[in-house]
Amino acid sequence: MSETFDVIVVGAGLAGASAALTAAKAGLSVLVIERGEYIGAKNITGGMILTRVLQDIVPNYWEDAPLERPIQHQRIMMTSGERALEIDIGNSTFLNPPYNGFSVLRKEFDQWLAGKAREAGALIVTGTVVDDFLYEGDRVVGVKTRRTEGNIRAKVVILADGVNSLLARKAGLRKKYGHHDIGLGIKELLALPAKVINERFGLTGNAGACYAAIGDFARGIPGGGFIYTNKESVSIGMVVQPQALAEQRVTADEVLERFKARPEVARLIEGGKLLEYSGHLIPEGGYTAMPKLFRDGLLVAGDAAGFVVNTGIVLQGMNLALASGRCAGETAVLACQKGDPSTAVLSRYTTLLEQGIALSEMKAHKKAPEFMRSPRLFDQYPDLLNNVMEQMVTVGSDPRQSLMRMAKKELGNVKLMDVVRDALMGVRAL
Amino acid sequence: MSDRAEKLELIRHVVHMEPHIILDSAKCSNCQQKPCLYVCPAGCFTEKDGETEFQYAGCLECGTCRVMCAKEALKWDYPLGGYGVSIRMG
Ligand SMILES: Cc1cc2nc3c(=O)[nH]c(=O)nc-3n(C[C@H](O)[C@H](O)[C@H](O)COP(=O)(O)OP(=O)(O)OC[C@H]3O[C@@H](n4cnc5c(N)ncnc54)[C@H](O)[C@@H]3O)c2cc1C
Ligand code: SF4
Ligand code: SF4
Repeated sequence: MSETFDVIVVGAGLAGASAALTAAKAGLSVLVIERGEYIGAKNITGGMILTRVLQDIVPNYWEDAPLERPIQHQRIMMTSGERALEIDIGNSTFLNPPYNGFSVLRKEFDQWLAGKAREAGALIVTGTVVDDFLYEGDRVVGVKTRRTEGNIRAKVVILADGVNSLLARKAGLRKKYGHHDIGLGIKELLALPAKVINERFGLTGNAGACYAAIGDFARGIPGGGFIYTNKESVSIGMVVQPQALAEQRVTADEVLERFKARPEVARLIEGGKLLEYSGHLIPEGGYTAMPKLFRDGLLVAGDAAGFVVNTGIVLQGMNLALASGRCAGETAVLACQKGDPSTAVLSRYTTLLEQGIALSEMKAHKKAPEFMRSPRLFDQYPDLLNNVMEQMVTVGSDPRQSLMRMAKKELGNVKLMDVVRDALMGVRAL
Repeated sequence: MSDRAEKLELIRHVVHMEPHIILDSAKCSNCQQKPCLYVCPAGCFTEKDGETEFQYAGCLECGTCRVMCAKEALKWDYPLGGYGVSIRMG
C-alpha cells in the first residue's frame, strides 16, 4: 500500500468504527487497521450500550443492529451476610423506540458497526498490528505496521486502540497508568433458554434486565458484580481493583465465584452452560487521568483516551467511545478540508467533545473514581442499608423505633464524618 | 462452582511461536508481593520453588500484568496481527 489516505484509524472497536464512519461519510479516504484475527476478536464488554449516541450515528439503528435485549429493568443489589437488598429501576418506555439501552455481544455488534463504515467507503484491514508512527518533524504523518512494506501515510491518524494504547504512550500523549486508574473486568457468558431467563428475571417477551451488585461477596475489594440478560444467554462478571486483589491475595475469578454462589445470584444462573470466559481492563481513572487528546496529525478517542465513566450503577464506555470517535472523525474532516492537521485546527476536537456528551460526562463525574475507591461503599454501606431494612421488616418483642432512630443507631458503626464525606462526594460524583 | 481451568479451555487462541510477553525472571527474585500471581485472569503466572514462572499461551491480552508488575520485569507487546486470543462472542 503506497497510497496516502486522508485518515488512518487504528483499531476497529466502537471508537474506531465511529470515527471511520464519520470521516468516510464526509467523503474522505479512510483506512482502518485492526490487529484482531477478525473485527471484535479482542473486544469484550459487560454490557449494556446506552443508545442515544448510537441513534445519532446510525439513525434507527434498532432496525438492523445485532442487539440482544432492550434493558427495561436496572437493578441494584447490595448483599450483607444472609441478606440482600434489591432496588429495581424499571421503565417500560425503555421498550419502545428510540429505547434507552440494549444488552449487546461485541463481536457481532462491532462487525455490524464496522460494516456501516465500510458501506460508507472505509477500507478495513484486520490481522495487522500498528507498531509506531511515521513523523515529519513533530507531525504524525502515518503509521508503521508490523507487515513488510507496512508504512502507510495519512493526513490525520486517529488512535482508537483501546485501554492498553501502547501507541498513545509512544506518541508521548499518555503517562503510565497508576494502579488506581484501571479496573479489571472478567466475564462469563452462560447459555440459558429465553423462557428460563424470562421466568427467573421476571421478564416478558424480549425485555431485558441487568444487575449492578456490591457487598460482602467481594471481600472488601473495591468493585462490583454485574449481570446482563441477553436473548438466550446471561453475561455475568466482576469489575475489581487489581491492587486490592494483590493485597488480599485472591484472584478476580475467586471473587466472581463467590458472587455466583450468592443464593440470589445462583438461582438466576443455575444450569447455565458456560460459553465463554474473558477478561479486559477498563480505564477507570476518570477525567483527571485522561491523556492529552491530540498532537500535530494525531487524535485519540475511546478507551485509549480514557473515555469511561463508572458510577457503580451504570458503566459508560461504549457510548463514550462512539461519541468521542465521532468527534475525532469530524475533526479529521475539518483538518482535511482546511488542509491543515496541526494542533491549531485539531484543538477543535476538545470543543466538539465538550459540546457533546463525551467530555461533559467525564467532567460531570470527575469525582466518581475517588468515590468508587472508598472501601466503605462496598463494605459498610451495604451492611448498613441491610440492617435498617431488616429492622423495618422484622417485628420483635422490643418497642418499635422510628426509621430515623434506627438509621442513626446503625450509623454509629460508621464514622459520621465518613458518611457525610461520602454522601457529599457521592452526590457530586454520580 | 466451576474450575478456572475449565473456563480457560473454552477460549479460542491462535498461538504464535514467538511469545508476545517476555519475563525477565531475574527481576522477580526481589519482588515481594508478586501481584502477577493474583491479578492475571488467565493464571499465566505461577510460583514454583519461590520462582515466578510465566507462560504466554493462555494470555487474554488484558494488560493487567503490564500495569501491575512491581519491578517492570515484563516486556509486554501485542501478538503478531491475527494471533493471540480470539473472542467468539464478546
Ligand atoms: C467487563 C467489562 C464490562 C463493561 N461494561 C460496559 C457496559 O455495560 N456499558 C458500557 O458502555 N461500557 C462497558 N464497558 C466498557 C466498554 O467495553 C469500553 O469502554 C469500550 O469497549 C471501548 O471501546 P473502544 O473502541 O475505545 O476500545 P476497544 O473496544 O478496546 O477497541 C480497541 C480496538 O483496537 C484494536 N487495537 C489495539 N491496538 C492495536 C494496534 N496496535 N494495531 C491495530 N489494532 C489495535 C483492538 O484489537 C480493538 O479492536 C465494559 C468493559 C469491560 C471490560
Ligand atoms: S510482579 Fe513482576 S517482578 Fe513481581 S513476580 Fe510478578 S512478574 Fe516478577
Ligand atoms: S496480559 Fe492479562 S492475561 Fe495476559 S498475562 Fe498479563 S494479566 Fe495475564
